[in-house]
Amino acid sequence: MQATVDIPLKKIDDYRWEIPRNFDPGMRVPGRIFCDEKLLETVRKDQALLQVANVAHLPGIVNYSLAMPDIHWGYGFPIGGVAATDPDQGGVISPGGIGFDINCGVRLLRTNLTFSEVQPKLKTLVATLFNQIPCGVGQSGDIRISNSERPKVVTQGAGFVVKKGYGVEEDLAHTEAGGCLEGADPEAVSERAYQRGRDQLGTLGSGNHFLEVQVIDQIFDSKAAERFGFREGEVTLMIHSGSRGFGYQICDDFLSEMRHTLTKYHIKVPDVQLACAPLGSPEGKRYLSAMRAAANYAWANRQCLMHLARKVFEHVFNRSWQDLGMYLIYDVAHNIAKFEKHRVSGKEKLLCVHRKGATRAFPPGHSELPQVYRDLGQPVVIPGDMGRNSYLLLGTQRAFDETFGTTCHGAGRLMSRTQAVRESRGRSIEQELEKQGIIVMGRGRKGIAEEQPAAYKDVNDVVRVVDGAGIAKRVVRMRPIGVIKG
Amino acid sequence: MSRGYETFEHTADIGIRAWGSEFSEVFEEAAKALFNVMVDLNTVSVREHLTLELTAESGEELFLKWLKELLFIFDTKHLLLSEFKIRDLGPQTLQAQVGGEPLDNAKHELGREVKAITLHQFKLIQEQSRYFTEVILDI
Repeated sequence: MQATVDIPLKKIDDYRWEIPRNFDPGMRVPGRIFCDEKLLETVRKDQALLQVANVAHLPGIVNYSLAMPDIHWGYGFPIGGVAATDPDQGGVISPGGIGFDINCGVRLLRTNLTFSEVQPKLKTLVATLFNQIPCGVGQSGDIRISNSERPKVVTQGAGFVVKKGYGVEEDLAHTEAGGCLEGADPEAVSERAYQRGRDQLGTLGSGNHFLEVQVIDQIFDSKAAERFGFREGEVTLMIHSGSRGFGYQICDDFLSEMRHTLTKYHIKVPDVQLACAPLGSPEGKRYLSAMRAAANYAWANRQCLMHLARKVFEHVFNRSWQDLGMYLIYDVAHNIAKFEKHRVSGKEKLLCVHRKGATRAFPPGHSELPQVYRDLGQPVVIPGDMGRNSYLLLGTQRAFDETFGTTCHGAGRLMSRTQAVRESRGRSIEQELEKQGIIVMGRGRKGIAEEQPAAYKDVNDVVRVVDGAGIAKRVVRMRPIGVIKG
Repeated sequence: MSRGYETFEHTADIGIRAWGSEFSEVFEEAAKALFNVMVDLNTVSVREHLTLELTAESGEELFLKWLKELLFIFDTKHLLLSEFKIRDLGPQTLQAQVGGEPLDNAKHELGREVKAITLHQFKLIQEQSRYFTEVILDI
């Protein structure tokens, strides 16, 4: 690994740190990192902070180049990075600011089931989920899209698969952006992307993607928890997946193309992986149209996965999913770019907000929130590792004012994959987790070793920072009891 | 060793390193390294062959296109490849024959899904009489 550059950090308060603009004359705005002393130690181990400074070079960037406490080293942009660009100030769109897995995201479902009702059937439940939900490398799904349906999936997103019978209208209201971004253009997507996505709708994928059966183990805000129908000891279901090969290919296509737009538009960035194009340029517009197509594919994918999971619960508990109370609480995207209105120097502006490994966290009263949650704030779903916890939080006004309405997205990796495999040699992670009451099923032993709890930062630390900084507030915490990994 | 490959660490992802005394060898070794990240190559028999012809503007572009093409074949045909022969390699063209077999869950234990070939800290260099590459794969 490359030697780390020593980045000067100015402490603002216990949770806020700044990289001053004078660190590099090319920086157009300062960097701002939401972190505490403890997490900062690991953040400093790789080059994520340098990447925060690099992002500050992007044309049209406003306020700050932001980083969340789960920040780590990515491609061009750090994972956990946020940047908003202003189209009126020559603002750009950068595919690296979204990432390969476009609209990777998480959804959380509630159930009426308690831990004691699920526990006797847990092994059957996990095994059935594992058998019924395609997961792992190279596994096809049964949900096929015909060539004539392709444009509909990518322009209608989750709504299209709901029309096909995978879920209900109400699910859409509980999905960020209603499960569909407007402005997706099927023609902006390459044939290769369609081919890679052909049999991957309703498939989980591998890496850090998962499906988890969880139990609510701590309540922080009892009033809000009650509104979501959450009680301690009740079972929840969480799904983490994205746009699969379809989105990876779109990102790849445009990263290659935008290496050339840097010269064409005379854009100077310190890292070629910050390749970008002006928001109004033909290249920028085409990427936005294709990125939205991938975002819609991802929402359709998570909707299909949820449908498959509901079917499994119906089969195992012999009750309808409605009777089991398996309602979608919310679905959030954590790799996406969207146009949103935010204040810059006291004026409201329409900005392009890049969130790469960061979650939207809009405040109470925001018009984009579904009516049922409008007085509460946006539900924010934060997954952790397979041995510790996950959270439901709510968006805040402070996040809206300071971070373009954004908060963290997860635990963030601590160990490399190779190191994680090395450290698990001679051990069985599955057996260790089973002793803690967690049933894990995955396609490969290596995959589980790489995703073991110790490979991640403690999500409790990350969430404590965002709660402490006021850029989201904790509602409930869950612990896993059943995990499906690719 | 005059040719070979290995993997190296990167925070969230994984890197492959390959080398050879001929430029074509580094193509072949990098291809093995790529599939080795997904599966134990010893478990992949060669039962099917494909012929590939690629063109690109430079040797570097050709190399990246080669790896991306192999990943695309796996993702769309679910074909695991373990044998790579570069038949012809020009400054802008490549002709190769690759071999492997369809993914079989009973036979192959798949570890990682490679999302993409990245340019992050990408290296493809010639030092004395040796070619050398480092590529980080997005997992």
